[in-house]
Amino acid sequence: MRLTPYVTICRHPAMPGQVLLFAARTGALILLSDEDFSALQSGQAAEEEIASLTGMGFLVADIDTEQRQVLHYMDDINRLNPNLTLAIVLGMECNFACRYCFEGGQKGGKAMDDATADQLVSFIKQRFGPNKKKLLLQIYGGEPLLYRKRLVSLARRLKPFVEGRGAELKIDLVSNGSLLTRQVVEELNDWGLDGVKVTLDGLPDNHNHFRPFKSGRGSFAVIIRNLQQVCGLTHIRLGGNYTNETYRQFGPLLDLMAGHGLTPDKIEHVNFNIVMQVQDRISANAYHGGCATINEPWLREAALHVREEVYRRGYTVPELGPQPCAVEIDDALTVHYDGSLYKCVTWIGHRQFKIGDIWQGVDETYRQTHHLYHWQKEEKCRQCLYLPLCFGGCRYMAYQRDGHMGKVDCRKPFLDATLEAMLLQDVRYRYGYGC
Amino acid sequence: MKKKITILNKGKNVQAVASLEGCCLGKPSATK
Repeated sequence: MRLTPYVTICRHPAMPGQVLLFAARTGALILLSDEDFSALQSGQAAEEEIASLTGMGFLVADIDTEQRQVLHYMDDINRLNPNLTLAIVLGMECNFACRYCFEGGQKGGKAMDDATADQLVSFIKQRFGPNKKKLLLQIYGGEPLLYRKRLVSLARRLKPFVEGRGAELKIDLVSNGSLLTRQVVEELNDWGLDGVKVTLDGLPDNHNHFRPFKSGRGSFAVIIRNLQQVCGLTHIRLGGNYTNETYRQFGPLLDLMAGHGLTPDKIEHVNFNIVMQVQDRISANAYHGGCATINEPWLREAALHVREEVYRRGYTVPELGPQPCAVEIDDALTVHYDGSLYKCVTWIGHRQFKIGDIWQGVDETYRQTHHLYHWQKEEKCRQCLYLPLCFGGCRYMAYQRDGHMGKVDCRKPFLDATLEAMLLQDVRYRYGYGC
Repeated sequence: MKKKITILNKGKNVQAVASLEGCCLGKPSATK
């Protein structure tokens, strides 16, 4: 047995004589002594450990087979996927005027009509095969809570159908939080609401600058008040978008939230991320900042700083591990308000990336237009120890930067600079080992 | 090699990853 090529190895002065190993294909993380690590490297793992280390993805029969399996990883994901995941844009109206919103000039009073909603129910019933265990609806917008009646009407028809198959309906909202009252959440809980992603962009002044109501009024206080009301009723996932100028505010934001009772036990996880630079005509907004690549040098320090600030205060960040992209998951689709289909919410309105509609179904030529598995053709990806964490990165980011998505959005420089430090953060904060 | 491995996270097999809800968890998603 050999050590997998998809392994990250780190040592730290606070863990003398120990080695930390991370298997990117599984997300497994182990600590072992230098001596045991040397034995592992030389193919002399103890007999009783071999099954466990193989199961966790650290030991493999041979390198070629392991690399082949990772190259075909998405085939396995698609064969085994028990979920049908639909991001649904119920309408494009929003009561906010976020400066960086990637929906640009598309927002406004366009909403799903009755005939489209009827067909959407039929489409879902047709796509929800007998092997499916969950129907995941990620409700998007615009602001999805402006379309609460439409959402309830869809759920009222889909929940009995899904449950009749012995499966489950789960609804997640991506909401600005301004309409997220106790009454709304209690109503949606009856229809399968699982959680809400709400965004706060740092301290109040900054948040109110970037995410004001359309009137220009600040939204921070309203969101906090709503989160206080609903945090015990559903899972709250906190997002936030930072820039080079603002990332240091996100730790103090969490202090402020905790002071308002939004303590770590009330927030499922925190996922602060960069503002992305958008350039195409449809996504364009008045904001000209943001990142064109995750490899911008400032982001290395910023990403680690923000993650540390979250962990240090007792909040949780998403686990490191394989992250398949919706573009390559056959049973993940985005349904626009007019019934057109896309592979990801980022592409809505980009007609050249429409992949069909809920009447005619999916046009499989998207596999070429979206360059599926482009990472398999790249030598640098096939040899990359981070491949299972990345699978070619974000096609939307590549498109915004390069004008096309034919090339991978390589994240190796960023991961080279940060992954070890992130793993050490996990060891310290998630698993409670001093380092 | 003695049995001294500390398992902090046993990881997810492909079936468990296939069952994950949502996508882009660790990637920069479009800013909204």
